[in-house]
Amino acid sequence: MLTLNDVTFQYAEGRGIRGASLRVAPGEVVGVVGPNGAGKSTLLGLAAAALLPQQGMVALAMADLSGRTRKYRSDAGVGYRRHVGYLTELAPAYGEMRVEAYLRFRAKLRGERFLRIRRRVLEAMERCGLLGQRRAVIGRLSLGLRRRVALAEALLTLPSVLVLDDPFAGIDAGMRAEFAAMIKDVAARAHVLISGHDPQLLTACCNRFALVERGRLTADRLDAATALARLLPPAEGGGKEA
Amino acid sequence: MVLWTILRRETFQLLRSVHGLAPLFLALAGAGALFVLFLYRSEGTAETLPALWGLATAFGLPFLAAVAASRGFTQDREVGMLRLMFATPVRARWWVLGKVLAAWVLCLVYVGGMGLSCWALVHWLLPADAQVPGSWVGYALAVTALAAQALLWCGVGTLASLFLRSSAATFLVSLLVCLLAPPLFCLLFSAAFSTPLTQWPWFPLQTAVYDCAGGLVDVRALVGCLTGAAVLIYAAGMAFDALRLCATER
Repeated sequence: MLTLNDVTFQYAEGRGIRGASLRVAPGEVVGVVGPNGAGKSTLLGLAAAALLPQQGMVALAMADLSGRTRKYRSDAGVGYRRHVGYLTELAPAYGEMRVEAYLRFRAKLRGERFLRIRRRVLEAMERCGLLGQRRAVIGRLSLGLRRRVALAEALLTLPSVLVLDDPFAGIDAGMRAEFAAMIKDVAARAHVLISGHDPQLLTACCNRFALVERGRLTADRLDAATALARLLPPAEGGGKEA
Repeated sequence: MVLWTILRRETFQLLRSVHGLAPLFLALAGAGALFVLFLYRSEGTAETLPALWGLATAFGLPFLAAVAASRGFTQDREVGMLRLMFATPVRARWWVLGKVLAAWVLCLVYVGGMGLSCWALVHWLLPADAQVPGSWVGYALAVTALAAQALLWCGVGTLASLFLRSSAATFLVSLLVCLLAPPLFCLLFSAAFSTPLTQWPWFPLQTAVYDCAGGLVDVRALVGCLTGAAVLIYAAGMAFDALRLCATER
């Protein structure tokens, strides 16, 4: 079970997330939705252990990430991050590297065993439709293909925590369905968190939705229709129905 | 294994990004060769060659170290890679060491290149009977002193790159620190202990020049450089970890 308990992370300018609690079971795919700047990426950063909570607790199984000492946080963090696949909203990759070389580099950094690296890289490239681009320089790929590279990187080590920040941005409709199917496939044995602005785009792969508004996690067990209704501005006359 | 993986990528990336400067370096080396040749013809001696080599190398080193190290984490921040690095199961010290050592390798290539150009000058341009002062041991010690200085400057640049948002600002800050910190430190040291340390205020330049001339190494300067580099690398590791708590990469 992936547990975020009362986590707070605020930036210097005051934005961020406050007092968020969320539990994700293995095999569950949770869509985190909300307006721009609500704190979705921060929440996902905390789940991926890219950020450390200023208050509260992030834990996978029984291993808690937040500790009092720097050494504890460092050791626990390294252990936790071995299980994490993370696609950030910018989907960064080293532009001067070739696709296969980049994935091999990332697999080594993520602690994959030497003899398994080649197989894992090939699997990830096959899943994301990148086998034809294995020798391509990443900087020369289209935005959609670069997002595929970043997604392949997130899936490299078959992570048990998969955190995808806006994975469908810049992806065409056909590929979106393939991505959703792939995420569902991976989710069979992983805790998955996906963020986005439109719940309808995420319905193909999400079991439930969590709503983030103005730095607060206001609901975490919504269906797509309810999440969409909560996201849309109230109709004229004060009604809340979409 | 992790350090080697990071170091290899960073080094190749740095060398690839500065390989365009190779013609400029060759042109400067050619100009230097002509200068030395004319100097030898007018003065009839090569006594000043090692000192000139030391001076040119030591002057270029802080600039090159600042350029190389300023790319470090700043570039990762610019492309959004820093957030992904935070989520990678690699300890902060390996990221920092990888960046520092990659910049250091580039500096060593520069020092080696300058040494090669000096060797080529002596063997091909000057007559066989031209006396060049200093021994091979002296040159080796000079290279050691320069390498220790380069490590310190690379540590400064890498630490600065963790906090600043643009490569230009990082370059400027690290260059200013590299050029101003040693004299300031030595002045403060001299004032505190009431001992005039005439050589120290200029140690980044002087050690190299003196070393070349007679194989003289200022052990205090060497120890200072290496200790400073170790402290900076440790501090940069702490800062990398601390950034996860305040997320200034956004």
